[in-house]
Amino acid sequence: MDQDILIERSLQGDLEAFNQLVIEYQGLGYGVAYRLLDDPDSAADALQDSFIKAYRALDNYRGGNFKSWLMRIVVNTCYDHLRSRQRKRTESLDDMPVEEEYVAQLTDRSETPHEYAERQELQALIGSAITSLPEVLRTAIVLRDVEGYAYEEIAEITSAAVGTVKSRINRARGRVRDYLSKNAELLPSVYRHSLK
Amino acid sequence: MDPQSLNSVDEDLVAAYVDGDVTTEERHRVEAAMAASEQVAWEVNTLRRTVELLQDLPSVPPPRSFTLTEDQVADVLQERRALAKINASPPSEVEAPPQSPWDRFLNFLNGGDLALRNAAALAAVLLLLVFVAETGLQRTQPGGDEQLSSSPAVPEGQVTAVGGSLSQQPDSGTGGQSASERESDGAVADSTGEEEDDPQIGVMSTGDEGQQSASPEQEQVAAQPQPDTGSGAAESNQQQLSGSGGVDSSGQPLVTVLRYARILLVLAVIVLWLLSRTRSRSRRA
Repeated sequence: MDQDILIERSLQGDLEAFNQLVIEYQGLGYGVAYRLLDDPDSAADALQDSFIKAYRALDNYRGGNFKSWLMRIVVNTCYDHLRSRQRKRTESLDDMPVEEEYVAQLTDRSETPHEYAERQELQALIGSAITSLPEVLRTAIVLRDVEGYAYEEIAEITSAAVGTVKSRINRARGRVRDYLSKNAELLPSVYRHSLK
Repeated sequence: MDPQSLNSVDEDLVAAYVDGDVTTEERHRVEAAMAASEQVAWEVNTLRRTVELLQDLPSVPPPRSFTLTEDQVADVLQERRALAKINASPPSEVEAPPQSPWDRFLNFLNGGDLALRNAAALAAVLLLLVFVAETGLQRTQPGGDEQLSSSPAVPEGQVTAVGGSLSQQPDSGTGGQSASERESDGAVADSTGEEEDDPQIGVMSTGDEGQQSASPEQEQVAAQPQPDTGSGAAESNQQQLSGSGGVDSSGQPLVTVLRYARILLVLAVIVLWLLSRTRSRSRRA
């Protein structure tokens, strides 16, 4: 059904119509939340909160790109969760997120256990590199390089100029590269040499 | 590496170049800077490798559905539903253009369920036919209105007797007797001469001026055959008024049938018309 009709019906109190929008965007939203928070449980909580906020704020939606409007809510909610988590966090190596379902899904049956372990380490390293970034740079690189959003969409989501978005993306990439270079032994050989 | 080491190449341009989102002129500019500086070339190439690593990250499917329940947004949901109800009130009731009385009357006539309305109209036509038939039947009966109105001037005593018989229907014979008694009373009044106008007023009330100056002898003559004639006229009048006590016994059951048919048809017209309005209203609702 047309997205505008679903929004209109949602505004008239049709929750099923809004849930169709939820189903349509929950995959994209969860991907962004997961990469920004680097934790499946936090990402799920943040995404649920985001949809509730979106439904409550639907009166303020003034047309345009609904996806960008919704993702802005997701990103801002993730920022809230990040700040909340930073306050509560107790430093422990055991806090490193390991999602069993996630790991199982990524298993490639053709790879050896050694290759599988290497891939897991690489993904964890990239995740750590992303979470080491300041919020704005993290958002820019996740939306662009991980989720594949266009500059204009990122500008809309983050309420920044396109030029600013490009600068942030470039700086974020540089920082991730530097972070990975410091842990080059975990990188595949092709990347290990090219990043040095 | 410091982005400032790109010298003349802006960092947003490098990002766009790595993404392949540059014009030909911009691409030449970046490639010229890369050719001129090893550091710029290293910067651009390592960034490109980094992007490749990031893009290789697998997509993460949501672990569950995030659809909302009514409890999660109950307050907003109720508010929106209440608002939607208010907005859903039919605009035609509010924005209907003013109608003239004639239009309203036509709408009133044309309103209602079509089939029931047609049935009511049919019943009304039948009712009219029954009326016509009933009237026709009454006219053809002997002793009817026609006979009374076309008859020549009825003698005063006769008419008075008719009045007497109407007032005392159960016993027409006594009617004649009472009329004669009144006549004798009038004679007494005349003989006393106290009120000359009274008998005249009494005669005028019968509607026959030719008999106003009737002498007591004439009155007596007229009063003599009164019992027979008076009772006959009373019978015919009674039959006409009641519609059942007719002289012609063959027309009596037909008149009764027509009378019942008339009542039934009146009821049918009313009931069918009301039903058609009710059904039309319930359909609109």
